[in-house]
Amino acid sequence: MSGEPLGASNERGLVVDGLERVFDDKRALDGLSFQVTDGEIVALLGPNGAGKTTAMRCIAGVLLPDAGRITIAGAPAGTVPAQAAISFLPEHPDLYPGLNIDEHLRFVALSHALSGWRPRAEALLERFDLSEVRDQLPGSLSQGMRRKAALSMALLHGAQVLLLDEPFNGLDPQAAAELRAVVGDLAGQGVAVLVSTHGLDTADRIATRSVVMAAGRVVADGTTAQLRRLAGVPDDADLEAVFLALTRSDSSV
Amino acid sequence: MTTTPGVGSIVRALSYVAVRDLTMRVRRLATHPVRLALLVAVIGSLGALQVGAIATRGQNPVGTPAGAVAGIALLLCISVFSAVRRSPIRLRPGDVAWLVPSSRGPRSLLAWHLGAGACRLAVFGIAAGVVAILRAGEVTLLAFQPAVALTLLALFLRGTAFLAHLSTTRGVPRTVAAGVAIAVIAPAALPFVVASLTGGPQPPLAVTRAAAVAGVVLDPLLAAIRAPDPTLWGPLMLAGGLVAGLAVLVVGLGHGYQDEAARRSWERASVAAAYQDGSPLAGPIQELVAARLPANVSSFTRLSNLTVERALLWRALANLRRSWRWDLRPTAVLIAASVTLAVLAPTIVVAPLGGLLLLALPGFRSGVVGELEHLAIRTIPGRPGAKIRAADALPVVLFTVELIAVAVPVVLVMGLPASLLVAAPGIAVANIASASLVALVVPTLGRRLAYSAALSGSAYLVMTAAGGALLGTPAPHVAGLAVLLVGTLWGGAAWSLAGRRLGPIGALS
Repeated sequence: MSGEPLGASNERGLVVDGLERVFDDKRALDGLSFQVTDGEIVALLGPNGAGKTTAMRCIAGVLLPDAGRITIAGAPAGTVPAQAAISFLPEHPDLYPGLNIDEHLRFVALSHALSGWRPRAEALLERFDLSEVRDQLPGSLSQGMRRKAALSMALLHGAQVLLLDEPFNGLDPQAAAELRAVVGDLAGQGVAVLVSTHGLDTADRIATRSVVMAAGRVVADGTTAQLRRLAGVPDDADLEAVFLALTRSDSSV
Repeated sequence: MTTTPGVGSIVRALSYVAVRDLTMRVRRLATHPVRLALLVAVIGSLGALQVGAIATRGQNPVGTPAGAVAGIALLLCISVFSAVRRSPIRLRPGDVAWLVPSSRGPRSLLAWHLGAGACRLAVFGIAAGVVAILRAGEVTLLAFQPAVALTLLALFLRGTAFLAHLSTTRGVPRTVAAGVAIAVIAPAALPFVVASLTGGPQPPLAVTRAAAVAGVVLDPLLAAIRAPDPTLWGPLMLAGGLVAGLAVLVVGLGHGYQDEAARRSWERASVAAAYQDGSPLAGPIQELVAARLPANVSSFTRLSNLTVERALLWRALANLRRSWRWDLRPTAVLIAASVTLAVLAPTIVVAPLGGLLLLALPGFRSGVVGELEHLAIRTIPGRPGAKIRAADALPVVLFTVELIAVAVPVVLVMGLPASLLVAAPGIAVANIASASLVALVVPTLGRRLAYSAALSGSAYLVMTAAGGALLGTPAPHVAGLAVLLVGTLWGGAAWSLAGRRLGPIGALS
């Protein structure tokens, strides 16, 4: 009997190393590697088809990569400790049609054996303006409300690694501002946050670092200032110009 | 300087702990009169039974009731199933900190726990023997024969469980270890089970080689407990030799003993130690450690640990609260049809039951099929097998209730034994587990329905064959149990296979 500590790795946060995934003849991920440390907010950027959602789903343990290694809070992805440490908001809200919003939150609490979860749930409902509709089924809610409900579920269990796939889609400006504030708070508490987004301004405002993907691999990784230098654009260029320059060249930086 | 503890010091330490433990238990008895009364009642009853046996020695019927052998076989199966999943030993802090890590510790631990269970029953038997001697007014060695038999029986049961667990720690897959053990126990016990259920004659012990082994070990033990007799000393010695051999084998293999509870406790201790030297993070981190890596973890799964099972079951119940009116409409129609036909057209009363079974063939009722449309079943923390069984639990219960409701008029009208209704859970488990397995293996809906119907249909055929074979015998009421057994085994196998497929999507490709 070894008696070695749980999770042979000492790596905290999220580590993605050499991830590969092929769908039929399309290579969605091609040696993707990056890292999100505790307390860091990293934006995952890329054009359509770059492999962002595939990467998110592999990290969340929904898709199995063909090759590569994913470590979540020191535990290999797909293991029970990794599942307990991660929270995933998919691009499309994944709600049960037969459960109301309050019951969805209770389900998350039961799934993670949370004690004293009710005040946190109430705060999230209040923050995302869901208190009035807590007894309603998802089918009777707008897309934005459903997304906010899914967000509340993702934020409830106090994950060590938070994955948000296009979290700002369909959110009204107030909810988007609340989400940015919540994400900032969580990062301040040491949570590693990975946000996949098309919104370059959003990435610029909340992310401490951006990982730019194209054709399934990382073409640039750094702060906005570093990305400007890598892309060879002027210092006053906006992130869109940086993004276009990086993804057009499509070469690893 | 650390030294490896010798066997002597280990025995002394374990004896010290055992004496302290016994003292504490005796003190507790003094403050719990109900427990004390129960203990006295059990020992007194055993003693009273033995008084009669002593008075009529030499005149008691030879042999063991088949029901007792069947019961012991069931106990063996349960303990083996448990042992291949978790250690059969409930470790104490001292075991974790000191015994398991030392070189001779695991063997000593196994020997001690084998002996401790046996000694407990021996004490009961000896106390009952003393009571019997006092009441019979005659000092005879026969009064202690049940104590010997009880001790050997405890050793046999514990030894079998330990052996099953040790085989898994040596790389034998759990399903293989359990399968081999059941393959030995089941044929050995089957003649006794059938005899017990049918009330038929005692089966010959040499029905199979395995049955003969069971007979050699269990028959004298159970006979000596039930009715001590001077002629049983010989067979008891033979059984004792075989059980001692089992115990020696277990202790011999004991150096490979592993326990998940011990591993997690060590992790907790090492992490806590790393942060206890005045680190500013020591407080919060120790709280975290306490929450995530509890010490003195039980080797058994407690109900409070069944997090994912409770969550999925709760979700299914919450959903049912809103959907039952729609979900149960076809069943309500079939129940009404069944009752109506029972009154008006008894010759075709079986039609609604057939309809229900046909409707269930495509596997729409599987809880896993519904859960697979959502990510939670893959992303919430928990073992895949547990998730699958939890997702299917409510559908199994509902299908069982529906089957019974539709089948009751059929049973009444056709004059079939009511015990056939015990088959319902077996049919439900086989059907729903088959559908869940297919849902995890076959991605497209059309093919999924066809494969599900084929697999569930095969289960129906096997269950019908098992039940039908017994329906025409003098023990038709056993047919329901046969279907239940076959259905449960089929469903268990399907769930086990399904658990291997509930990984991330892509594991199938």
